[in-house]
Amino acid sequence: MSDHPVVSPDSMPENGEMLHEQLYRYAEDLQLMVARNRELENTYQLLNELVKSSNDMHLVTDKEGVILETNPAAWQIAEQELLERSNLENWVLASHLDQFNALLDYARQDDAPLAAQEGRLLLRRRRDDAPAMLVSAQIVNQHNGTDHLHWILRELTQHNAEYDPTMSATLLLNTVEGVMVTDQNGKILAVNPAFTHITGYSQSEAIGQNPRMLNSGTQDKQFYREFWQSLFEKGNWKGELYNKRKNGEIFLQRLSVSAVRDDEGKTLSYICIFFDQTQAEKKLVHLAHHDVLTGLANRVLLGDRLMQQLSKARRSDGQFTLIFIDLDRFKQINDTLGHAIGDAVLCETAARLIATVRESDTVARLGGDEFIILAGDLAGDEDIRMLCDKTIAALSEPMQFDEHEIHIGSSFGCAEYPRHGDTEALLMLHADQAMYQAKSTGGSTCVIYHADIDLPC
Amino acid sequence: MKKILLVDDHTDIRRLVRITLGSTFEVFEAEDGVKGLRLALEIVPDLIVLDVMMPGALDGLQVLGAIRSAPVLSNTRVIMVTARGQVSDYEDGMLRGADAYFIKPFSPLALVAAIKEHLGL
Repeated sequence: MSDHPVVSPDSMPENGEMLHEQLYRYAEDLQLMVARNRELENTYQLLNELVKSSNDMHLVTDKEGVILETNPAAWQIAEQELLERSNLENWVLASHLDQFNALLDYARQDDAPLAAQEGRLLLRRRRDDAPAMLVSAQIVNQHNGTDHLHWILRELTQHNAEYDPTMSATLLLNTVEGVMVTDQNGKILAVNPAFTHITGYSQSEAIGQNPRMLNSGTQDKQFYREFWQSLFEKGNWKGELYNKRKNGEIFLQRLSVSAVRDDEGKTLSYICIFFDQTQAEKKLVHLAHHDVLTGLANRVLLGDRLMQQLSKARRSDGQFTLIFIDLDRFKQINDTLGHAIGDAVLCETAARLIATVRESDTVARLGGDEFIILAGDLAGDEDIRMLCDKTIAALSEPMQFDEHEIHIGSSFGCAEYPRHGDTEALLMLHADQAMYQAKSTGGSTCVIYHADIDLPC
Repeated sequence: MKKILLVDDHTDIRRLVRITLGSTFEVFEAEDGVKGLRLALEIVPDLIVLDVMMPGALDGLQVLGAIRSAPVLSNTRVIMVTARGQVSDYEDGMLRGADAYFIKPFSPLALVAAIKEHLGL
């Protein structure tokens, strides 16, 4: 039993009347909604126009990345018909697929904030000759129940990339040329790592100094007069000069200096780019005198050393020995195990030869599997045999490359100055003959030249 | 989908409200207080739209009282609907025990807005 005043059913409006009144309220609300809908449509049209005329590329995709809608700016990737229904993933270059998937994964989360997530993508374009396009990509999850993702892509290549100062900085960090920037008075403002490598002055030592610190005193006043005249008149100078490193060493520098001027022609700074000619020449000389594979002396350097050794021995009645070495069955290793293993055997042989001879001796490779030791002051059969036996033993130790264990034998032929010859040609010939005899006896042995070798067997 | 229970003896009003809410909510109906309370205890709706004046053993206010004392319905929101000019001071005080109340004829837009607000949508 309810204890509040009971309302008599008589006072209730008739059901029909109540329904009418309620229907009028529905009609009023409908009128309101129609008006609101019109406003929304206008807003939608406006936004649509904005997106259409935007320079940014707008794409709507489903959650898998399949493109559903595009604006005209997006058609620089490909024609609309080609673009729509394709997966955006197909237009992203492999280098940026991880970025793409990260963006997609982020936007797919149900609780991803509405705020745009941003990343960078590199896109290929339909026209094969068109360069790839770097874009900043924003992805907006609309959360409106449609499962659609809204992508906004803005091209970076034409704008930001061109002006990216970190690019030129990276460039300077990695060049072999030394770079130095000075103000209009010659005070050093910046140098790159190659500058430090070439001159020996660290960045902190160089900045604030005058390039005079590199002056070797080699060039005369006339040289510098012409140098400055060219800079003032043409805005640049190119040429070679000798400068001095921090350690006092004088080196040849190929230098190019350019003046940076403002619109009125006033010099703001100088940019100096130089190349270490001395170092480059040293490298060339090294290349010309050494075997590229093993780093040993080559035929040219061996010839020089042999001439030096000859003239020294002639002056002082000295002695020395030339030892020819040939690896036994090397061709077989090359043919059966391949050139990579063959080259490794040659390098290992070179290392073992260097390790057994004295530092003052020269070890050379003449090409193929032929090596030569030029041993100064070595003379007498006993001493020669001792060195050769030691070296043969060192070479006969097994070599391990990957799963291959290689046993290599070697044949040695020796000729001593002046006992077996007093010219370069004779010594070479006799050492070679001795080596062939060692080989013919089955290898892994040493033969010292003796007059009987000349006789036919 | 949130569950909404309509308790009203007017078939046409129930039908109007069902059409209004049907695309957004799962809508249940009862035509008097007793059936309404029984269904409420069974389905535990998130919100009940409850007419005050109904024939039968329980009117809307009694149903409201029962709902408020049923622990199983402690999270259920109640919106009362009553006819214009029919509310006494006493009833007004009782109606305040509901989460909201509407006077018939009510604006369907306002009802939807109130339901969404009370369900935290």
